[in-house]
Amino acid sequence: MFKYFIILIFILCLIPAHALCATEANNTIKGVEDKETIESENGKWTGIDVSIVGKYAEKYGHPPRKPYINTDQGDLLLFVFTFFGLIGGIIIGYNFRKLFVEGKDKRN
Amino acid sequence: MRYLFRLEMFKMKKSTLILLIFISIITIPNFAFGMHITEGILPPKWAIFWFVMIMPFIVIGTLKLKKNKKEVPGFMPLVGLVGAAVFVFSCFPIPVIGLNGMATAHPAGTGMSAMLLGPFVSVVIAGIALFIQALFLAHGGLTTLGVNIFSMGVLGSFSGYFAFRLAQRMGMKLFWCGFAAGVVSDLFTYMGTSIGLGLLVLEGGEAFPIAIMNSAKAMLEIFVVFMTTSQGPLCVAEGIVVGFAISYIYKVRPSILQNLKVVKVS
Repeated sequence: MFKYFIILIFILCLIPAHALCATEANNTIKGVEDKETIESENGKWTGIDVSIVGKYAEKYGHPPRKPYINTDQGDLLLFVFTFFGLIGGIIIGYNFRKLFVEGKDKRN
Repeated sequence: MRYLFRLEMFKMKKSTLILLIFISIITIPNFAFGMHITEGILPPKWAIFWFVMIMPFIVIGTLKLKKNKKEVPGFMPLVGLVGAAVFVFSCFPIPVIGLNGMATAHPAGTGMSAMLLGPFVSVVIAGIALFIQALFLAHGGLTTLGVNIFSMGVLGSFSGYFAFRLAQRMGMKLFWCGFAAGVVSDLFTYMGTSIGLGLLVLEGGEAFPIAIMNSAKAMLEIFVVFMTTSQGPLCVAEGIVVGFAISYIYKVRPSILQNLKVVKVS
């Protein structure tokens, strides 16, 4: 299991971020403004970890820095969230079935 | 084909694989902000301090995991199920209408894992979940992994576990015992985050007693802000989910809870 996990991490680390983005900055169409299609309005639905933790960290003179692996590029973050959500869902479903469907206790 | 794949890929030593991962991590460019306590917020001495704080829990948790794996039937599938649930819970932004308007917040899930698997094993599970989130999901950070494990893993697990046991001793129904574990673990998780941030005030260069006072004030302020925005309603929601989860397990497979000494089944 550990080996599978390490190989999975390695493969994910090697995925080039630009290969997973839908658009590139220099690849614009003439006369069409390059603009984000989805925008959050004035920070609505911002995670409180970001808004509160970030705010206080800056107040105390330790602003957040960029993480060591950047997955927050275009659709890459969406990809990793979906990917790990899917993996998590499969693990939950598999073990749920094993424990509570196949291994259901018989009371009689 | 499958056999060949296994043969070639797994002939590599673990150390070689780990080295490959390390090289790929340091050669990848990096930007983005995350959640929990984000990368770069903690100065090196605090980062080391929190890592030292969590190490004993991780070691004991790993030993307990190995021991229970041999002794308790059905333990590993439960670890897989709960571990994946903790991972998904703790990076699942749930929209909540709080006092400051629209925001998202995420549950911790460690109350449930501590209640079922014990607090030490729950720390290990939280550690793995937070490590993957820090690596790939721009969620937390590698230098802040120690403080995040302390708040979500150590404080969340132990508070949830003791809340569950206390509720049991008070003779409450199983649902309400689970509810107490969920609510209390969530509260303590965010208290841990407040402590981690509040201690940064000690860096201000003021006299020690004044710095302590300011730090305590900051911790309280941050915790109140967390609770009055979105985390307050969310911890109640987490309590309800944990309550239903434990009730369901008791109904469908009480033998697991009996084997894990969570409840006594007559």
